[in-house]
Amino acid sequence: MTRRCQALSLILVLLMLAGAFCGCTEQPQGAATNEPHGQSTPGGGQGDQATPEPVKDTLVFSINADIVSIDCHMARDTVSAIVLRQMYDTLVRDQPGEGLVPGLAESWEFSADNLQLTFKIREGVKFHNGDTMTAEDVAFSLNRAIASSFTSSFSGTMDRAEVLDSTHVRLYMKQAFGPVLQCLSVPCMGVVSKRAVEELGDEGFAAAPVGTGPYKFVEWKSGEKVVLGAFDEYYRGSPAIKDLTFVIMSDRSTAAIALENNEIDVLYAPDVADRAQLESLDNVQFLTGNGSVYMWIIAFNNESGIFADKRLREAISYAIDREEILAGALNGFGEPVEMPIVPSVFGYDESFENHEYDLDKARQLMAEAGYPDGFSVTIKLNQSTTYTRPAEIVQAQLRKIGIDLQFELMERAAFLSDVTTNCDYEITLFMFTAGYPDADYVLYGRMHSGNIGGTNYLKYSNPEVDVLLDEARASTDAARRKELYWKVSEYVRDDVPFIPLITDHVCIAANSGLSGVQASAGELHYVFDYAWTK
Amino acid sequence: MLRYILKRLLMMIPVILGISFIIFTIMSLTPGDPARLILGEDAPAEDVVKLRMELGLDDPFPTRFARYIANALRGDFGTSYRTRQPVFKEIFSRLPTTFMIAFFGILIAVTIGLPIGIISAVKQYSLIDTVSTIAAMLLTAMPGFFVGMLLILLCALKLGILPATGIATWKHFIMPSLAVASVTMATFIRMTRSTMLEVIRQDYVRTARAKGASKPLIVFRHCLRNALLPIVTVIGMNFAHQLGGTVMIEAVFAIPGLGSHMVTAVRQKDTPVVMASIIFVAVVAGLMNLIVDILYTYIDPRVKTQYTKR
Repeated sequence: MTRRCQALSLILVLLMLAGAFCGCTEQPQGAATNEPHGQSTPGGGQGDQATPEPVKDTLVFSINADIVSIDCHMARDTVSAIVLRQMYDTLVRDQPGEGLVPGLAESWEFSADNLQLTFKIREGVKFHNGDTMTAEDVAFSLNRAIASSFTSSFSGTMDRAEVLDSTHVRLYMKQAFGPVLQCLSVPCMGVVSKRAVEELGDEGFAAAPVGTGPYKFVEWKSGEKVVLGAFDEYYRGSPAIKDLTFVIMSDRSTAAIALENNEIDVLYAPDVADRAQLESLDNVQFLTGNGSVYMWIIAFNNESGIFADKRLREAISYAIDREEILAGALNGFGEPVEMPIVPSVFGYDESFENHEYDLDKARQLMAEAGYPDGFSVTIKLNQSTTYTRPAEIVQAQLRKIGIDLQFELMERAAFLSDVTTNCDYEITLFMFTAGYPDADYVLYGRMHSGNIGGTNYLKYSNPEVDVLLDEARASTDAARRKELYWKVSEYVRDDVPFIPLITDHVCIAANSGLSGVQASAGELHYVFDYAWTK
Repeated sequence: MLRYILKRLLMMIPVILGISFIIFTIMSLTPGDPARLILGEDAPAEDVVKLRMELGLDDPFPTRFARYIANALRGDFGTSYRTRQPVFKEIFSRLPTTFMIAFFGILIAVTIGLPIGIISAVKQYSLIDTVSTIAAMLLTAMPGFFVGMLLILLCALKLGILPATGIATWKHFIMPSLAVASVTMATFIRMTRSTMLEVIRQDYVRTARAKGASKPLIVFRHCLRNALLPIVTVIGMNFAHQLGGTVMIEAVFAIPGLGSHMVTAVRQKDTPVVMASIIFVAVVAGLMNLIVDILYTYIDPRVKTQYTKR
């Protein structure tokens, strides 16, 4: 008896030591050991299902949080959008690499004053329940989306949609709006079956949604997965991937291991720390896209507090070294941003230059403002390395001109409440995200004085900028709009309501046997375009 | 006995009410707006106002608390602010997974930890005692998620014998259970050893030895039975703890468990979910304590006479 227990405890200790040991000698020798399973044979190795199937038609896509809803009009976050994009179609589709292409609308036409937009609806499109999509469904869906409390960033300028005849729907605008087509391409402006919503009610529909997309809803297990199945009557043809599962993996390093182990097939936005490991794997393709829609910024309270003084904001602008922040915060995987518009977004111009790095100029401005010896100020930060890592570098850089940044780390809920809702802050380092790839989203939202009390938590108010933003918003002339955003960018440089810092490059990692995967700045992933090649 | 159980169950009601009040107050007083968190920082103010109204967040605190309790008494614990699903639907969909991992984790910990603890006590200061003490220290020092990551590296990536993530088959439960076991096992080893040592020094043990009882008889009949009371308590408490306390392990293995559900809900300020989860865990903890107390009566006849006398 005792001997057996002795042996047992010895085994236990050995097991632990072995575990600790293999943790130490991680990558270099590990790959050389000849294990029967695993990724020893490049291309093969699908784990435990080694049965020879002709072509694989299942796909597991990992997402890093649970979705909010499977009713497309009831969610607007990135994760939900990835899932909803597979189930619903929009009038206009934003296709990575191609831009805006006709979706459920075959064509569209603006009225002369840009206040009416008439769509010709594609005929013969089927809903998941077998019904044929009509103009009624389209108008109903647009009106339902406009009424939703999730969509104002996109539908705020839209008034109502009306059916003209069996194939035409007209969208009436409250005001002319340049990026309206971009806004119509987001999943939360998707088309749903009017009959299904009316028969099931909003709650019932959210449990059994009916769209026209390439995948239909099968199951949503809270916190675990969302399962979709191919819709064979999809108007663009039956998708190659038949069973699509979104698994929720909140830890991205876990997801990276699962990808390495062939348990998942696609991992979007992998962690920077896992990048080198993923790139080195034979069974994984690692794709890097052109920029992203994220822009790290230093934001000031322009109205009250110490940074109401423009000279101090300017001083900081001269004391910032973007390359250093990029290297420290993102290991260099990204780009410095001089213009308050990131490269993937309409309005960007690479020739724009912001203030150069000039410590003498910065010190001079500090002295002019009455702080020759510097000062100490609290910077409120969302408690996440996404913001604290760049903030640490900014802290070190500003120390050179005598500004001592005191970190106040806050939970996201408290941060949003203090900074973006109540504007109770002096300076922060945060992110501006382009909800649709047009400069209007960030600049109008953050800088127009009409949005003070809302999205303009900079409390920046400048009538000249308002005029420029209003004109750019209403115009549909691309060249003119670009010119206007250039002018707005000059105001950002000279008034320094906020300081654009850096942007990252979106990445996606997928099984190397999968074709059609694209890294897209706006995380536009269409599983319809995917297929297994081996 | 039955009266005792009934009394204990009734005593849980004020406890639950107290917990509800405290949690509801904390959730209301901490900064952050659920509507803003759902919609994100880009959402225009009018959307946030609209959503706040839809969720009924604008009423004053006493009104909301009274409404919550009134609904809860009728069995309606509300829907999640975030997903608008009934809260207990989400909790119960996660419960089996969490329960299995907690159960198997503790089972492994007990079957390995208890014998090691007994041997360590019986052969105090022997080699096996020293080794097991060091092992227990090591396990206490290593958080469960770290053990989990080591297991993934070894069993999933190096050996390829177990899947790293998910909960599809029984194989998926092995590593999470081991990770849970590694943490609790250390406690069990230490606890068993120290209580056994206390008992071994008692006079009746010496008497038993003097009258010539065999060693296994002394260890199992006289010592273990008396040492079992605190051990059973620790096991019961650990089980209740595992239902909500394995957040990191769940994250490492991508398991949809109760712990991560609660933490997400707290971050999102999803009050109905937080309330329901905590009330649920509180009830389970209360029931576990009751079960442990009842088990006492089987282990220790002295405890039984206390109840039956009344």
